[in-house]
Amino acid sequence: MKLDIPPTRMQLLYLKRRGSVARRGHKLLKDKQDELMRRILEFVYRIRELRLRIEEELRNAFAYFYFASSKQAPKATDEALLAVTKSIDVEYSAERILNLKIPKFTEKISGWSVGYGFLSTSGDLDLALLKIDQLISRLLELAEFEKTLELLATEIEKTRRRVNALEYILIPAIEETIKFINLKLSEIERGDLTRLMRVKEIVRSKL
Amino acid sequence: MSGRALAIVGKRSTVMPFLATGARVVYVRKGECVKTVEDLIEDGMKIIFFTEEFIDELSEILLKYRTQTLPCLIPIPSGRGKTRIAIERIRGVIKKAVGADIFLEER
Repeated sequence: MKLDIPPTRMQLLYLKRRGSVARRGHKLLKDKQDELMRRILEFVYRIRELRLRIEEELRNAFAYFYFASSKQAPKATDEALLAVTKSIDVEYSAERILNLKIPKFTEKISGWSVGYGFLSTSGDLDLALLKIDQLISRLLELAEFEKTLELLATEIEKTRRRVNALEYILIPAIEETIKFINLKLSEIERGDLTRLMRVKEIVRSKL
Repeated sequence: MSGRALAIVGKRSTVMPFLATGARVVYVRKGECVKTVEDLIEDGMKIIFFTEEFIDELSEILLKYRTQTLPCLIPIPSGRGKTRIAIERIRGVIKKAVGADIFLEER
């Protein structure tokens, strides 16, 4: 589609400049898209493995927990969990990939997870809590990766739209308009030339 | 006991063991999850894990915070059987971004 621009030499120069900027931008964005794609692929595999592992371990831990709670009085489980003195804090820092802010978490743990007496609780509870406790760092890693994936995915979507808009709409339109202005200018030039020749002839015939 | 960084949201029977990790554990029933999660975000929670069964309920919030670095809203398996909703969600995200289903080979 041709741009709605008057066919003058000024506009031609302006369009040529715009065209070169658009082409440079297109190349840059295309490179960015490729890089984002490479990174996202890396994360996809890591997340898939991590998720499957967490699912498996969580199932294991829950199995122990259910065993434990069925073996002992329900109140005993509640009491045991209330006695947990552990506290977890997460330190957050942001890393930059391209122009994206990627979260990075480091855990800070204080206190103990086993704060109950062993007399009224089953041994399975200890195992269950231990397993879940070990899982938390992996869950943090998963949170980090999934957020990164989401951010990368939205960025890829945006970049792809921009690349396509440049490649299929703006650059062709500019090229077409440049061609149109060139044709128009040479047409005007030819018109001028013939008019000049004609005028010369008339002037000469009157002499 | 409850820090300001990490929260786990889910049904009582499912998320109770997470008390041992020192995170803030919040029990919810079906239908009241959205409000709870919104409150937690307002509270400044950085990471919120929720069990997979609430993923449909929270879809609007998930969409809202998709482009922000914090908070992280992450579904975790509920530990009973394989529900796969979380993996389906990632698959959707990737499919939309890449234009191809590269998660496919897992099946």
